[in-house]
Amino acid sequence: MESRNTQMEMDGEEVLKAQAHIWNHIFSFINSMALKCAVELRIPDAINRHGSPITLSQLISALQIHPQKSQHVHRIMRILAHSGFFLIHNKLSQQKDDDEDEDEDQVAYSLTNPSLLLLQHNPLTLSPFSLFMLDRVLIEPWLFISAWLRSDSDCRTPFETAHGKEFWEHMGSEAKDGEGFNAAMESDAKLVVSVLLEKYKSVFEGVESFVDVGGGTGSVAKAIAEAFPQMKCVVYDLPQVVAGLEGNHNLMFLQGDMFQVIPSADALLLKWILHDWTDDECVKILKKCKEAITSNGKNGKVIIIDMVVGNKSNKKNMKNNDMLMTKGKLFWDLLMMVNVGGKERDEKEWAELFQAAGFGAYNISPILGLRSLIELYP
Amino acid sequence: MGENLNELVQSQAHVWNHACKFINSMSLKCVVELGIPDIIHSHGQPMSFPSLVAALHIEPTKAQCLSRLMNLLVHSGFFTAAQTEAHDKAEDVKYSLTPSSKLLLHNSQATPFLFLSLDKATIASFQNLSSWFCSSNNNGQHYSNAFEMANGKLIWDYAAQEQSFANLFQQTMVCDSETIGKIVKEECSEVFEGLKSLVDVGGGTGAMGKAIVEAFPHITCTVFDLPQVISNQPLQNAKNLRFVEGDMFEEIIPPANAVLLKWILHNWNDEQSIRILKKCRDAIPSRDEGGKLIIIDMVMERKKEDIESTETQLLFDLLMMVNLNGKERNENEWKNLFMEAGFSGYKIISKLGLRSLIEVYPA
Repeated sequence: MESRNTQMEMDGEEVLKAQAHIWNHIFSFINSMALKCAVELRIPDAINRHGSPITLSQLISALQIHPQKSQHVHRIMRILAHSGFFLIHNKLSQQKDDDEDEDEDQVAYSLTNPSLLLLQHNPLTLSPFSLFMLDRVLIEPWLFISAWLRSDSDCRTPFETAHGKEFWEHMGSEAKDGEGFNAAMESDAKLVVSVLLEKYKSVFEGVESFVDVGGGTGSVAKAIAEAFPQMKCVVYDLPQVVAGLEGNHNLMFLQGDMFQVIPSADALLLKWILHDWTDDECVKILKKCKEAITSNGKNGKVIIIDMVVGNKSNKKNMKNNDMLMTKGKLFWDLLMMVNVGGKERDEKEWAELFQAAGFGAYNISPILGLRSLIELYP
Repeated sequence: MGENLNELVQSQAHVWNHACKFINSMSLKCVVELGIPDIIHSHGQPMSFPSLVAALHIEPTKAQCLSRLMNLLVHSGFFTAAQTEAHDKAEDVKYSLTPSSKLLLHNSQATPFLFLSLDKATIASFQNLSSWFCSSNNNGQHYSNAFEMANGKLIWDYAAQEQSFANLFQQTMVCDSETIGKIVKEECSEVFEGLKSLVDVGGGTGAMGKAIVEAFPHITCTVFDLPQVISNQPLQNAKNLRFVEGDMFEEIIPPANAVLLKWILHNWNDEQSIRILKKCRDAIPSRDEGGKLIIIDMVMERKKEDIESTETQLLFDLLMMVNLNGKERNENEWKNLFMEAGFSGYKIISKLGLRSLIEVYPA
């Protein structure tokens, strides 16, 4: 009864306010599930193909929704419109009519910047990424966090508790999930490299040889090899990822384990790699990187693309956008904790890693939204 | 191009943020499962991180994971974290409860609802949503909602089999009734003035009925619900409270000055709701004789300027769609139901947070 008393200390208005806040968080997962549903149904593509704002009944027939369920489509659309994925156009009809059935063609939907990124054929599409993130395989581990925290088993992550295997092993052995992961990474790589080459081409100035460490299926290296035809580019990843992939005159796929050895080059890229690993593992990887850029008497650099968690700022002074960015980084930190046992780091934590691996100077450029580009010198 | 690239990374962050929003729900569920609100509460004062780790018996290697989980929940307003020393090491933080986490104490208002809404059966139903939209049938039989498709049965049948799910459902209703009962007394007592009798249709185990007869001693309350709901209950011995078994779709609702429908109609589609409303109309006297219906449910689009409330209502609507065949309604949709069922007028009183109280008057 003690807890009910605590609740009773609050007046009715306070209780209702707290209740509304809790409900919003309880239901928060439905935002993600509605997004997943829209991507699976390819709603953005259907709107795009239509070429102009699409009415609800046109959308229903384009999506081949079962007639018994067509009455529910607008409910998915209105929450996604509320969250900025679609625009709702209310057509003003000549005669005002309150009858529900007449409403269907008075509402039309169009795309927004975020939903343009969910189109299947957009080269920078985030739809494989969204589907992978919200696949059962990645949702399941979240149901095991409290059990994992309490247990004394040596499972490294809730992912392992849920699936019996570590993330990398699972993605290597389950073909469908592995493909989902690679597709997600590939779509992100395309987006990152397009920003990099537009905004920060200078980072590659004077670089004659380049290795993308953990470069996956090679989207980044391909774009860089194309932009710099004189540069020798290598994609370095595990055999299960790069086996059978073919390069060209200045692009090569190499199989290997970054914990053992990294091919030497003027510049190494670690895009979205270090946040997958613990501090000790990161220091090991960085030491291998240092060997690779200082062999042959050279003095190369490591280019890291990852998040730098902001200093704790006063919440009240934060602008709305900063709040979202902070939230995004907190989400990613937990994603790394739950799935792979890695983490997102603030600047101090990064500096400690660099120092422990024997590096000298570094330079952070926050050019990629939630992520930054860090140049690291021996 | 620079502007476009900015838009591009902004849009990417937007998609990521939505794909990650499920983490809000899962992290909240996790800290309540761990009993963290209770541990901080019984500590009696702001609780340091090492004390929290010790109280939870978490292995030292996993302690930093707990601190990261707490970071998100502090950011979302479920705890406050005060730095005790000038240097900001994680260990020097002291956590306190906020009004939101006070409602998540064991046995407290929002806890059963949290576990009910984030039960694996519900999560599985949402996973299935797009296939449900496109599915035609199941051996000639139609899946009426995504819950049925994912779990093989309707939610009521599922609850009949899974005792823990049924318990959560019942606790949710009891806790909510206790809170709403108290607030109704504070905020809407005029609604109950002059009533001698009230029947709480779908009143479950009688928590709301009990709250009403205690708050308004001049009212005699009849709780009307299915036999399996009522017969399983230990008898409530409150004065002025009685229980009647029956099916609101089939049987005659016991007559009274007023009928209460709390959190009932959003479970049902329009056609079913109209049937219920007609049965209720038959149970009450005319408007001139003081007869009325008292509905407690959401009215959507009342506070459009409040973005978080609007979002919550839209999300709740999807929960009703996926788990049941119900929906949340705007004023116009409510009005249509009332007119169809032969009522002559209504008044909306928005004093119950995300929900409203609607008085509906017969002819």
